[in-house]
Amino acid sequence: MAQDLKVVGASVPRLDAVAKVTGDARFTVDVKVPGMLHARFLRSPHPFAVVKSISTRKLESLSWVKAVITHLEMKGTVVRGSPIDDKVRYLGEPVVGVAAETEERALEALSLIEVEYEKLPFVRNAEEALRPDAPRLWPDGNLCEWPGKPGGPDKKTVQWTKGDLAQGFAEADVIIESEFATHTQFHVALEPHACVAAWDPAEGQMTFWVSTQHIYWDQQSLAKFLKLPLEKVKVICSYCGGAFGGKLSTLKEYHMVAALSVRARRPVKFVPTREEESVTTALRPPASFYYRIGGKKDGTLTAIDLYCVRDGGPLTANQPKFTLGCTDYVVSYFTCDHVHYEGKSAYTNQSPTAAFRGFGYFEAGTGLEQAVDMFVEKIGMDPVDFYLKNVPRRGALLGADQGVCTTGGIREVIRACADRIGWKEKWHKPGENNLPDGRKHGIAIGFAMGRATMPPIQFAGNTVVKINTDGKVHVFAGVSDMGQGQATGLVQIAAEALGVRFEDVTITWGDTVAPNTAYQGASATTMMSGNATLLACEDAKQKLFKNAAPMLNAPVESLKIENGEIYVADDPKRRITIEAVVSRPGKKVIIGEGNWSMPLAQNQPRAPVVCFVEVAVDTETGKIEVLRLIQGTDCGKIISRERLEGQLQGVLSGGLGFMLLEDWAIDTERMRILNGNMLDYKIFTSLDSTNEAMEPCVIVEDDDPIGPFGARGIGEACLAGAGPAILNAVYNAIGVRFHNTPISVDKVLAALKSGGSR
Amino acid sequence: MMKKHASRQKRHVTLFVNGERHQLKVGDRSDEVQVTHTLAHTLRETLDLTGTKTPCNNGECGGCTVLMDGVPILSCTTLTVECDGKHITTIEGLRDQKSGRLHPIQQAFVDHDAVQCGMCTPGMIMSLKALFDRRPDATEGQVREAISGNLCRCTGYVKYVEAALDAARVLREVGA
Repeated sequence: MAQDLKVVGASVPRLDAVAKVTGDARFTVDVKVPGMLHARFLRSPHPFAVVKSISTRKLESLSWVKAVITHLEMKGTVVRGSPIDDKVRYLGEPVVGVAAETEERALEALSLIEVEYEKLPFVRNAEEALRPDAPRLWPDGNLCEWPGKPGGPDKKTVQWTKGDLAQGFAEADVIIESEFATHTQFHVALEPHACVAAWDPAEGQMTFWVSTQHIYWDQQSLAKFLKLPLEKVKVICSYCGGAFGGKLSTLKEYHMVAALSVRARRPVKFVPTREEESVTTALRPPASFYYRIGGKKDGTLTAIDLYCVRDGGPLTANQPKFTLGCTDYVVSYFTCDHVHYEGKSAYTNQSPTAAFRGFGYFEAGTGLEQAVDMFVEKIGMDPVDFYLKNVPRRGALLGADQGVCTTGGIREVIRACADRIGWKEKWHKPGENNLPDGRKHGIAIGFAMGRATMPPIQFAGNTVVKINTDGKVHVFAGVSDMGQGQATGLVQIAAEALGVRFEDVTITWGDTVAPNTAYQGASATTMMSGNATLLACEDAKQKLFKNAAPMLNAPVESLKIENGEIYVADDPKRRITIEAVVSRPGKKVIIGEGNWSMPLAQNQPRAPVVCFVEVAVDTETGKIEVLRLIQGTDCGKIISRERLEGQLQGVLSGGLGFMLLEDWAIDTERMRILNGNMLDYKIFTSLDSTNEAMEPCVIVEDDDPIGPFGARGIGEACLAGAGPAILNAVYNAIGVRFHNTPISVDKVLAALKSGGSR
Repeated sequence: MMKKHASRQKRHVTLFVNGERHQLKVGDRSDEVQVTHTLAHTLRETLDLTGTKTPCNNGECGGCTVLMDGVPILSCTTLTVECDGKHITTIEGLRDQKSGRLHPIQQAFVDHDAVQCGMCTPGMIMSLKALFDRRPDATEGQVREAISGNLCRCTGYVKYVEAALDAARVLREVGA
């Protein structure tokens, strides 16, 4: 699909770049409103307890305490998918919120509150949760409900079967069984889950600034809680200081801050401390996986069986999506006739959980591709040939929805990456290559595939485009821009669609004044809001043409638009500026509307990431060095190469960091997380990689048939290819397979010492 | 050290922030600088210079980096009363105050799209400013060393290094 595009794909500066490099950008943590109070929370010291009573009597006489809200007053409120009752279910759950003139005063007040708890036996992890005699977190038991499809008869299991698994294994020459367990990861977004609630008693309106990925969910949750119509809750997130999936929940704290503002009739601000941020807002939960795969000697996969259990934390929130992400997403990585998966998510008294650049397919896929690596080793096949043979083609029917894959360039990406790294010359049998400095050399391919759309029940994009009387275009798209450059991309799409310059388009984002749109997750915004913007521009264009037709004395159908002018297609000299059309006597502002969603059973644009790595493993120190890393993708038409590279390069932090370095420390006697800060919880620093090791990205532009100008989103999967790549490369180096994460230095050393797998 | 309680007795603390003199009252009232206030707090809350970020507020992430007499410091673990008479440069002071033109490091960050969520960006740029003021010929290794205390969760640092080396080149040309 050759397209002559002027703005989409062009190198344009990100809209908020200057504001961010000058310090002018006002994040939620920077918001100040006159008369603003500060909130702090008294938090549960127990992972599971009944709150018998709360006494805030001693606060009544304190002039500087302006409002108080307690857990028991919130009974019945549904927060993150679960109703508040008389129990607290995680250590650090907010029990009382206090608004005072200063943070220090609010903290002081907390020490005067008396809470009586009845401690309950608690559940440490998913394994414990599923024991028959386990304490019950919720009356209905410890398994999270999954009433959706594909599901099992118990309404608690994500489950799907294609073909006949027994037949698939009967056809197999080689069968591999494998297990994999992953740990918890903190999101470490640099801006914490901050919020400012400003209740306007005169207007009966709440204005709520919040660092979020979903201003409209926050709007809906708060409107329901405050018993207000949606329009009376205005949610604003102009700049979101990082999210990565961790800001997809309207926290209990947000509800409480809103209530405090209403009660005090003054604005109230809450900024979590780093420890509160790390351990009480959201984290990537642990999971365990079991795989059984079968295949023929020629590399044909005949059967995939996958079972997963996630530790879902105490609240329902996004647990079902996790389970689906761990199963349905992952079995779609490879073409196979006989497939079965089953996934469960268990309630535990751990901190609440959230997505982390994907609903679990990073972890689940890593384990699956380890099984694949064992399989190809056994049949003596080159792993790259296996991937080339088995990754889906455009037109393949994917997962339980059996939607049509619209992604077509994966093989081309794999070939280009393999060429770049010199696969043919470098790939070797496990443990067979020593570097001149004595370290062991390893090389591997990893692959991951996210989705670039979500079902209409969750995902619909709405955009309004206005062409004002000066001929300039304004886009209203309520997306949050947490660094991925989404707002800039939508402006590029609008400029392209309306034939105007990038500079002639402005945008309102991160503000519920724009029409309702789904959250920024699942790599779906490009497809969703991009297409909605495109449709809104198309609508505006038709309205423009209708007004221009009499002015040009030509039928509407004959008109075209370029360079800010409308012209007659077969007589291009007859032209008129957009400004002349909208500013004519009796002028009318043009409003275009766009709405877009896509059922998964129709088309499934998929976001693939291919990752090749070369590592050196020091067998004396256990240190793993990534010598080279190549990230590749087919994201359809590129909207911005710089922004795309930025997303792909993000693998170095959350992706490699998760596999090699980051680990949580938890005292399971009390469920107390011990390293909820940025010093003891190690994320990658600038010293952990070099620009030489991070090769330029390999990007294939195989236009997506349903994407705006052929584009599709990619953000989420960018971490996920590195998981299998690094684990299989370490195996290739030292012949040791690790079945749990992270593969830290001590584990590598211990494994080498014992000479076995871990 | 000999003057015990010196900060308590002193009535004012004078800061020169981005070239502007601020004489701030020290005391316990909410509009005064309290002895417990950090420089980051004073910059952000008293002087409304919110470009300096405090992602961890505990000296762990480098987001609050400012220059004190040209040296990069963590403003979230520096008490304001310790800064009397000091010259502080924050991210707001980097662009040319008259023309509004961006500093070459800022411009390079824009040109290379070395910006994602933006929370670590001001601290990152201030660390690089301190480096290039001393070493306009800095290598990639020195750039990485200089920003090793500035944690970023979005970028993988690749574009920061590209932008920094490009900015250094521009600074050398301007300086030459």
